[in-house]
Amino acid sequence: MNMFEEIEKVKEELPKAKTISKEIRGIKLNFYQIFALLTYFIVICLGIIFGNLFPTCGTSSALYSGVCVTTEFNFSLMLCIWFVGLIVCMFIFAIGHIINLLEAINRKLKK
Amino acid sequence: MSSVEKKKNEIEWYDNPNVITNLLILMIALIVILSQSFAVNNGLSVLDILSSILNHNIGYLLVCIYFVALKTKVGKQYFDFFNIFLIVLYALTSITSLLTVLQSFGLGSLLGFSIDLMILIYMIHTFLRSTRIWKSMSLNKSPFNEITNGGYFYSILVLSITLLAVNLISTTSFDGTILTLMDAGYSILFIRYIYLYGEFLNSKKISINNEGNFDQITEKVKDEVTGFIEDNKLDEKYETVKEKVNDFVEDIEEKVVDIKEEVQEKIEEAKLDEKFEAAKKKTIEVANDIKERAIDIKEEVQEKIEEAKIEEKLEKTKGQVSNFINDVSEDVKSFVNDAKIEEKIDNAKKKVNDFVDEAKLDEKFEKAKIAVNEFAKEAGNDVKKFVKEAKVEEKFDKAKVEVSKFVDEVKEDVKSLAPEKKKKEPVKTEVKDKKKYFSRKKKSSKDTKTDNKKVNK
Repeated sequence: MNMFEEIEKVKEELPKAKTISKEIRGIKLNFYQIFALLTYFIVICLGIIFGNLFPTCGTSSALYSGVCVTTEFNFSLMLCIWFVGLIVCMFIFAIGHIINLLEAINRKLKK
Repeated sequence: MSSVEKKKNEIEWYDNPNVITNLLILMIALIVILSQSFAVNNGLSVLDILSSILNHNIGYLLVCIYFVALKTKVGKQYFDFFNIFLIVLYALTSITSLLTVLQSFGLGSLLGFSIDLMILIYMIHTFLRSTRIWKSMSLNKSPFNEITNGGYFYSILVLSITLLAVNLISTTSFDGTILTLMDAGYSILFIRYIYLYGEFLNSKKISINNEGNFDQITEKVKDEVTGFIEDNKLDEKYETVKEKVNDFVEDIEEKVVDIKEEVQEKIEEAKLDEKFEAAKKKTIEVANDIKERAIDIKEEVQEKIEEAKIEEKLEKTKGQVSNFINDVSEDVKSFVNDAKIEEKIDNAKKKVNDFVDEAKLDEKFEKAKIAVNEFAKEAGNDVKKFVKEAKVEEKFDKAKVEVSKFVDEVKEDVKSLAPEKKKKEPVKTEVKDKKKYFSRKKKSSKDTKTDNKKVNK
């Protein structure tokens, strides 16, 4: 059997764009979570800038030699920055989520 | 050997997605391993090796994860999700290649950027075709959709071969030649993989895209539809289905009519109309009974209200009692007149005082007065009882009888006393005494009247 036929039988459909947008709109974010998202957006931009500022060697006089003829965008550096930023922003986002939960508990206890 | 097995064997390796994915995984592994070994052989520092290798191989490694995942059940289940991951990855690589063009402008960087961009567009228009995003983003109206699957494949193939030529010219070493060759092989295999998926989708659905002008497309669609109908004998199937549906509808209609008749029969059997009429009559009777009972209760209540008008009855009894007392006084007066007491008063005048002393009339009168007062109290109590028991008239009669008896007794006493006074005393003296007596009597009668009034009150 063709590989794609197998996949076609088993694969799950992607969610609708409307449902995704509705779910995203339904999420209420507090200050920490908004701050985390903004920070991650800034980190993405920084990754691209740093990848461009610190390029790697595209083609060298001899392969992997120290003398670079052309430089390339530093893709790995950008990904590293993005990954580190993602972990930091997830930490801040998680703090915000914990605060949300604590506030919800406090509201329930007051009732 | 069966025909199906023959067909399977007829498929070339480059048309088999399984073989292509395996080759891709193998190619990526070779690229990563060979680039590492070449870097070590060239005596680069660890940091340089890491940065160069990571930068060169990170894209390959991520694509390798995608193809390895496709070999698992989870990868097959979330095939569309992995495709989106791949699209995002190639979007990033196309951005980086654009930045590379800005950094070191040249034919090689330009070709690399154009290949990455073309692959990105090709992937978007192939991988998303069978998803919901295709309709929601209306990608079928995209101008890039006009390019055929083969058009994309061959254009990218030409571009990658050109890039290979440029890189081969620029490379001066054996290592570089091998790696550029492997890079070109990887990109050709990758676009072949996308091409095969596009062909698979075309085989599944009627392809109306990118095959000439509109008339040709419509003719092709017509041919394909008629061919599909003829191949699958849809006309015959439609007729048979139509007949079956008609028969089914007729059966349902007949059954509905039968059920309707049965229901009507059951209604008639149950004589629901008659039962309804009987129930209606019963309800009317019950309503009338209730109405009558309500009227009776109303009358009773009115009677009770009337009975409760005790004040009027008391006024009546008061009047009757006063009349009765007047009658009694008149009777006494008439009795006095009948007995010719005035004539005898003078005779008995002198002996009256003695008689009064001897007969103790004052005491008797006082007793009578007390008795009358008691009677009046009893009458008052009776009136109260009457008020309570609402039997005023009967008690009034009893009281009347008792009063008349009392009057008779008084009369008899007076009669019994009067002849004795006649014999003993002369008439002249008796008259004066009797005047005094009757003046006292009148006073006493007035007292009794006032007492009766108090009782009545």
